[in-house]
Amino acid sequence: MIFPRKRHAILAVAAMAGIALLVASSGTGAGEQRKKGGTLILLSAGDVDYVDPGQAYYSFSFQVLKPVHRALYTIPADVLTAVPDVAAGPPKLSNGGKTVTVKIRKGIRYSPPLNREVVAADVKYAIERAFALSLANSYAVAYFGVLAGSPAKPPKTPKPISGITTPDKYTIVFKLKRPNGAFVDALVMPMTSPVPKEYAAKYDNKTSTDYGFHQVATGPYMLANDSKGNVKGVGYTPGKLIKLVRNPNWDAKTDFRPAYLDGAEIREGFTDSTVASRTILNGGADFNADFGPPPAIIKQVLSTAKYKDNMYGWPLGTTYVGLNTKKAPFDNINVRRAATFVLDRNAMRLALGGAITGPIATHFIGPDFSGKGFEAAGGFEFNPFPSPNFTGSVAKAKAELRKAGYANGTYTGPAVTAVVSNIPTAINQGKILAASLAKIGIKVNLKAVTTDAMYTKFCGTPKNQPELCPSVGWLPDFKDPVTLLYVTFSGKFIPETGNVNWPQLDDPKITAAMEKAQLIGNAKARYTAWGKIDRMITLTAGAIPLQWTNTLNLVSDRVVVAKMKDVQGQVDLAYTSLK
Amino acid sequence: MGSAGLFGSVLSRIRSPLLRYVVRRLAWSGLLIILVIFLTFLVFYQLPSADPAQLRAGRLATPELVAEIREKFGLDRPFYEQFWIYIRSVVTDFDLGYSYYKNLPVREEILSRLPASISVALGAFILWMAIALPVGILTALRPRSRSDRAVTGATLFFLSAPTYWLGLVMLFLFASDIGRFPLIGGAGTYVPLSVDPKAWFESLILPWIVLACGFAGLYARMIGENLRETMATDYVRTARAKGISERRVVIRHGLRAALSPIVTLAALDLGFLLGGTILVETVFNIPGVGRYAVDAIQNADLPAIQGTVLFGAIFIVLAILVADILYAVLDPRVRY
Amino acid sequence: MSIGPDALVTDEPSATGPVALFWERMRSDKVALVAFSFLTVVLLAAVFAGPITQLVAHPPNAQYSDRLDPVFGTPTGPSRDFLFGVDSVGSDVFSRVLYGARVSLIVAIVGTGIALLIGTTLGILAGYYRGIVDTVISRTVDVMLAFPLLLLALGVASACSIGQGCVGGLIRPGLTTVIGIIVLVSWTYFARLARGQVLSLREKEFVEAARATGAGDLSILGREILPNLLTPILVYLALVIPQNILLEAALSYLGVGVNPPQASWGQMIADATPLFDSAWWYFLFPGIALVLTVLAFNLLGEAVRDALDPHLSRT
Repeated sequence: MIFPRKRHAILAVAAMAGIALLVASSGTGAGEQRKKGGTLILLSAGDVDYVDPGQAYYSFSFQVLKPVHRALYTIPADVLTAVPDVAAGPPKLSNGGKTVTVKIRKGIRYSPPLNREVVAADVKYAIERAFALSLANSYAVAYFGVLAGSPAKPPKTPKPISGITTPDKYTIVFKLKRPNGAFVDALVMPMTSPVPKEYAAKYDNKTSTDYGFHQVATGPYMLANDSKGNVKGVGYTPGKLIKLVRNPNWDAKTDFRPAYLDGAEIREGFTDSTVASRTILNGGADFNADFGPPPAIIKQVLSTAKYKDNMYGWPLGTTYVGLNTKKAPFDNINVRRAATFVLDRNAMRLALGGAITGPIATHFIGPDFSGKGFEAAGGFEFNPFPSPNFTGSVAKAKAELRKAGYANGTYTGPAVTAVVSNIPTAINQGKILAASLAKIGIKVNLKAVTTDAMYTKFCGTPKNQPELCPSVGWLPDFKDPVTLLYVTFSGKFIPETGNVNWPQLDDPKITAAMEKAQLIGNAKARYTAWGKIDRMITLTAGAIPLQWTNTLNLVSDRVVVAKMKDVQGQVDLAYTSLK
Repeated sequence: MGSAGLFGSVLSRIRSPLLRYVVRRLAWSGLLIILVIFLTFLVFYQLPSADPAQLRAGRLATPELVAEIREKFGLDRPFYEQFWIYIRSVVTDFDLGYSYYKNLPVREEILSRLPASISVALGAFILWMAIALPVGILTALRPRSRSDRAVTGATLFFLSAPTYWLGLVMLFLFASDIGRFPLIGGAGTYVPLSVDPKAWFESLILPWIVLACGFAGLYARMIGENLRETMATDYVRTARAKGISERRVVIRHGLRAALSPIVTLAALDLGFLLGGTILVETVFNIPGVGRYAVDAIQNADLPAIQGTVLFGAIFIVLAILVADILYAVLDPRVRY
Repeated sequence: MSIGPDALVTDEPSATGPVALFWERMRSDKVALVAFSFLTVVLLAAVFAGPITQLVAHPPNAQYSDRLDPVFGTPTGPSRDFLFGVDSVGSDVFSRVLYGARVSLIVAIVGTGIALLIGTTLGILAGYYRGIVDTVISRTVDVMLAFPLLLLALGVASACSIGQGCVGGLIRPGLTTVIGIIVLVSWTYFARLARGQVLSLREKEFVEAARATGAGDLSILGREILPNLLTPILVYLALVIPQNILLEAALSYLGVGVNPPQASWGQMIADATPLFDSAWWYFLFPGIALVLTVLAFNLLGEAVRDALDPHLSRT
């Protein structure tokens, strides 16, 4: 998923090897006094992308929708293993892994105004609808395209998929084109949350579905709606407010979630993250949903005794500077290496708030993949572009430039452009990058645009892409290095729009190695292979690794935290409680 | 303008000169609003060099989606046709278009934030008039005194300071959470009047002071001058000669005449007040129309900016209209 | 002063003329002198920002991350070699305040200057030729004045900062956009003023006389009308410039001013806002610089007005 959490992060599907038969505990916090009741208040700068589980894409949306829509399998709070949710038990694989059978739990009912019981056909419809153009889901093809009969070209409205069948009311069978271990892992995605066809079809058959504004819930909470089922203006006022209330048809006996809270209120539009952070620290709200505390707040929290329990970090993902390898001067590897040598990464990190925001990255697979490729990639030791305290080395940079043909080690070509997000910390990082590159003669023109525009108009569209994209990063979809390196550095994935291979790296050796690595069955061997790939990518200097990020979450005094460990450690609304 | 032809013949039917004046002003305001709509449309249509369909498509700007948007919003039609659609929707439904952000209707977004902005602007107005009136009267009665110069000096100082900077200074000194001398609500503490009147009031004290600072002195001076001038005029002297007490002279005749130019000026200063409100809302995190405009600008949300600019302009035109008519009613010396 | 008969003579045109009278009044106005000297200092600071920063400070865009808190990255305050402290990336605030003076002065003077030229010309044309020319120009002025200025400025600035800028790329985001906006919102003042003055002047006897002797329009404009316009225009200039300095600062504060890392007082205050409660130097010094500069212009403007025509001054 895309970084930073502030604006873009595809929901996380963290699942370790397979799905375990685990009955989830109600999470940690054994010593905390948990109170039943109360409404949690979350603050966000922007809005969720969608409230429809078949469309939602941001990790912020995932935090809001996870307690509302039960998927086939789910990862409970404070753990990293998936458990059956709408499913009654683990999936049964047969036919050499090409057939996956899942039994549905009985007794789950939809929220008012629908009220009926969930059946297997609803899961079938949920997956089918995600392929339709009226939903414009971004990951359906990637993770579920392996289903037999799934459409090659997205249909305008939902069409049945022959590879999904429901032999009886509570059984669903998936037939795959070929065996695929990732398919089972993907069954935790929200698009597998059941959707009643007879109720939703009329919304899904429009050019752009608005089922989200009329949705029914299966989880302990629902978006508040009126008697006709309309959510807009009641439970969801776009850009302003989301209200979660208890789902009266939720049966705790069919679920493992404790659901302490009576509901949650997500207040949107808090674009000043300093003021919003302070509001949370002073108890005016409870959690930061889609922004991080700025450096001054970080300092205040860590230096003031009374705030020490109000912030916790969660390590996940890597940030980096994307160098456009298809555009001069960064099409030359020595110029890229020079840029990597000269960048003052220590200052870049200070601009975000210092060491607490995460260790400085020397390659891409970070310590959050400990045992799953971090060591294979060289751990903290592999540092091919060293400099004293990561402040950058002008001498080594100049040496590289000389190799690139610049006589006295100083760049003499035209100025380059860097497009950054218009968030203060990102602009400061842009300034630091510009100052570092100026030391070797590269003049950088800074352009600050909205994060959306930075990703969609500039850095995500190869033909508009500037030479430098300093505000990019990636969150792994699940704990296998493939999700961190594949779509981001493989030459196979450079689409015209929505490109996330920001360096536009197209190295045939690396691409081939990635294809080989995915076929390796043995986990340890696979991680070793990806570790080698990480080293290769780092040496191309197509991207300058910045940090292995530690996402900082702010909570008010009254919150007993239960973390979504598969994402960025956000509070899981179905497990969190007030003190 | 306008005294010929059909309009002229309609006008001549009206007996009362005041009514004729009102009708003329109304007609002019109507025309002005149309011109304003045209200019706004022109600015936001012609100036930006980016493709509006692409901007509206946003994140997943596939060619199909962009084409669909272009068709749906009529972005491929010629200029005059687009303008006609635009002005028709503004005039008939007061429809100000749809934001690039989730296609939210701009009108609703502005109207829902209007109460907060009105709280800020109106409260500041009351505050500065409450200061300006007594101070103005005082300076009128004691010209060239030290207090007069002090007021001038202080006024100039506050008028020279950027509103947002004054706001920061105020917060730095007096905000309850971070101020050096914590007194009242800081940034982000605004709640609507309907939710909690006490908190609403407290959160607005600092913003009101910041906005009122420059205006208070300005108006005090203006009121003082006008009062002094009027006090020296004939009809006030006559009133005094008739034996009416000084107090009544000041209040009845002098003040009333002094206030009428103030009325007009208040309307003209509206533009500055709106600008000041934008800055105050930004610093104090008040969710008003000004903040909406600033956020729209940060997000390059052209329809929202366009709608807000149009809204502000129409508001000013109407305010000037009201002020002109009030002026004509209040001051019999006005020639119309 | 002697109490001779000459002391009783008033309003007699002195042999030295109105210009010398003006300077005499200006020179005796202490406040004006202070304001003028201050502005001279600001101008010198702006012009010589380069050498000054080289001597006693640091380059404005150089970043000294050792001046940031090593743990949290927050900036440190005034010290012996960083007179005004550093900002959030470690740049010298003192240097940036000096260079910020450049932006404020250039934008205000160039922008207001262009607005003056355009506005005065249009105003003169409207006032002198009347008829359709006057109608078109006056109505345009009326329409422009209906707009809330800051909002319009923000809107235009924003519209011109996406894509390739406006007017076919002539106005790109940054300094040119800001100057363009200043021109857009200020020309109306000068136009209205010029028109009003010309309207009253053209009826005066000396104009009639000139016309009677067969002088052409251009010569009348040049010889009779323009010189009499100078006074009010100058007064206006002195009052509009500080307004435009504040406008540029407001635009920069809201993020649509000059491009980073160029120093601008408004932008520095904006950068300082997230940290203002701890890094007080960062918002205080640029703010004071702004206030004092604008105040100086305002005081000077008032003094100019008083000196040019004492009858206009407040009693």
